[in-house]
Amino acid sequence: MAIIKADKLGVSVAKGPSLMTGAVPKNDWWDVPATFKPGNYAYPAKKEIIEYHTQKTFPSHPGLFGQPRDWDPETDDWNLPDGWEKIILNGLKERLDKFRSLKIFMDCCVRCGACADKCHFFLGTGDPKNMPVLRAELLRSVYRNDFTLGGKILGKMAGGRPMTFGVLKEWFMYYYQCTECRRCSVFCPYGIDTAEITMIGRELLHLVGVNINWIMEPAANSNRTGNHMGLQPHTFKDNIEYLCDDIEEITGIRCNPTFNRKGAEVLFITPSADVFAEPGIYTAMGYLLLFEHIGLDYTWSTYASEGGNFGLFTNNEMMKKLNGKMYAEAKRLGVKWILGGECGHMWRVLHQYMDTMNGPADFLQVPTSPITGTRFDNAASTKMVHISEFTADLIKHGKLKLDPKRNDHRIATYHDSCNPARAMGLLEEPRYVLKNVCNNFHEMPENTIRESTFCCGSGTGLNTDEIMELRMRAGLPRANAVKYVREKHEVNMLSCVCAIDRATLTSLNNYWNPDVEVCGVSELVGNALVMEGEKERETGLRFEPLAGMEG
Amino acid sequence: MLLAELLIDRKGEILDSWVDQVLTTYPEDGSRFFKKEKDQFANPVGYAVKSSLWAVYALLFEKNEPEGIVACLDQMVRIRAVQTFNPSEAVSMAYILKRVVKDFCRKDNVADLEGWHAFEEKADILAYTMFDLYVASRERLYQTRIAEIKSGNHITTDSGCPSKLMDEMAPKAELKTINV
Repeated sequence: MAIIKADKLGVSVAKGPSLMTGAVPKNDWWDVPATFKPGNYAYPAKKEIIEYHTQKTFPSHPGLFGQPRDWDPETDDWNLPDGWEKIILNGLKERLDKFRSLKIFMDCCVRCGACADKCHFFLGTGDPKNMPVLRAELLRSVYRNDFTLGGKILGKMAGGRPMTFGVLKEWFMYYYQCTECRRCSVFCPYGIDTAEITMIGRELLHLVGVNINWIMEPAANSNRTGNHMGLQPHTFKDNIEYLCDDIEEITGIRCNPTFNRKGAEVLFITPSADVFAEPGIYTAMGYLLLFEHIGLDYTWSTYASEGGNFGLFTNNEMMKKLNGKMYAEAKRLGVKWILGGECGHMWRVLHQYMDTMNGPADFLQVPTSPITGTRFDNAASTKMVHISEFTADLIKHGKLKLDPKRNDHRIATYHDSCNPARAMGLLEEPRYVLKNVCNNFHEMPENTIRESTFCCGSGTGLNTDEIMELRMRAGLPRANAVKYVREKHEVNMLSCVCAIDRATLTSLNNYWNPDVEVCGVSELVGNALVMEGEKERETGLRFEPLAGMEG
Repeated sequence: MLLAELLIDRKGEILDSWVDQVLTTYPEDGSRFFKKEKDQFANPVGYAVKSSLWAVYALLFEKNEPEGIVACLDQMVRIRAVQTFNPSEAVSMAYILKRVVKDFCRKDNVADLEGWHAFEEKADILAYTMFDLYVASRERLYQTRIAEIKSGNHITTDSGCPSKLMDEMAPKAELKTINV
């Protein structure tokens, strides 16, 4: 065996690339190629899923998802269609004509750098291409090269570069290292919505069949059965009834929800994860108890059985279709208005895009709480009210009998889920609810909450286990603030109002803060609600002993 | 001058250089920001590196309490264990410190072999501890991934239709009952 000299060994161990992680780039961003390795990219969509979308979801839009095929990001041949560069450039032209916002965002950035250090991906990685300004530059450079006079004449000197396979790889790498959380947009003096640049980047990638399975398969499930999980009506109903069994065991109260009931006053829609996956199911138990408590005339739908809209992470057409399903069902059932559960991106689509896609929902009535008489004029166009707004209004009017001591085993903090916080301004209502249903509540530091909230790091369909390392570093700024309140106030419960958060923050805490659990705000409401005729509660909704009942 | 005295007298400069060199392991633009921003929530990486290294240095070379270093190092190593470093680069701090102290010895003409042995022993404790913490972090990462898979999160993509699964499970359960 050859004897390796110590200095050589040092160099080879410290600098050589590793199969596990790879090396840190040290060149200018322009010259650093995107390299795909196990763990740094999400798996591409299965061929049959793209076939499904092509044939079933959008038979009238051929080419929206490129040619269904198998491909491997780690190779240098992605089986792209002939003339794929032209497809991308034509797609960009079409979108520049269609969306004035995109044209403005491409032109008006002055590279002031205000956004640069606001992205959780940048803060967790130090990778300059995760600065929002640079992530936008990946697309902007192509725009300059082909759509501006300066770029056409001067090319690279004017910051332009042609659409090449290397650029395409960068797009796939970095438009899937953005969770469209819009924290950077809060700090942009021009109001550039960087999330929309990512959205367009992903739309363009779809045109040549570059995509990820964790988005495309739930979207296919949602198109087929109405929800991401692919639950058929009987399973959806059975699952909710299982939750009713658990509620009965804990409280002695039997909830009797109805399904697909025509003529109900309210249609309730929430993410399917609340019906099927922990810890969302405890949030769903909270909803069920709340509605029973106030005697709400409402129905679940086994077709509009999903609030989440993976179309937001795909393209405009998908977003419109998945949003439209909720309103089609509201029309079919003849309800007056829609009550929405603790979901993230459903609310962004609703508040910021729906009116020009499917809205306004004129066939519904402006939501009015049948219990308090409050008219929710803020939802005059969408006709859909957030469960936290609805609950806060009930508490404000003294309509709920609450015993916050039942949450004394919880020391809670609140994570402002990006979309409800930044896309609909839902900042005070969940806090008002929390302060009324639990005695121990502590805020995380000011620059990590409200409009400045840090993303969970795994939104926009990045909640897939093959990129766990990437998710952990993207979620670091959020976890870091949770760690602070855990150490300072012994916080043991991270509450939020988003189903993706409930799943992703659970993993994030498993790694960074293993003592902190995750819940929806409505779970804590359910714990605190004093139901008429209930038995003495010994446990919370997840069968955990209440304070003083541990023995 | 003895090395132990140098480590106390020039503590600030040694630590500044140590922190600077550790943060230089990040890409240039990231590294510049990690070095500059002071707010611990706006800059979790820079803050963790700086606070960990200062605390560890005090425990090893001022207070002589090496048993306390685990708690100080935990967050920094946990961060580096999920970043795109080679494992050796992720936990290279002890070796970087040796290099930094060697430079100061040269500059100040400190030739104290016994002192160097005592220093190196402590630097080695640092290296071993970081290696243990790194491996523990990687194991925690894999456990997190396993826990997520077990939680059913992947059911949206990898399990086929849950309704069909439940149907398939139901007859099997009945069959088992009959056999018993």
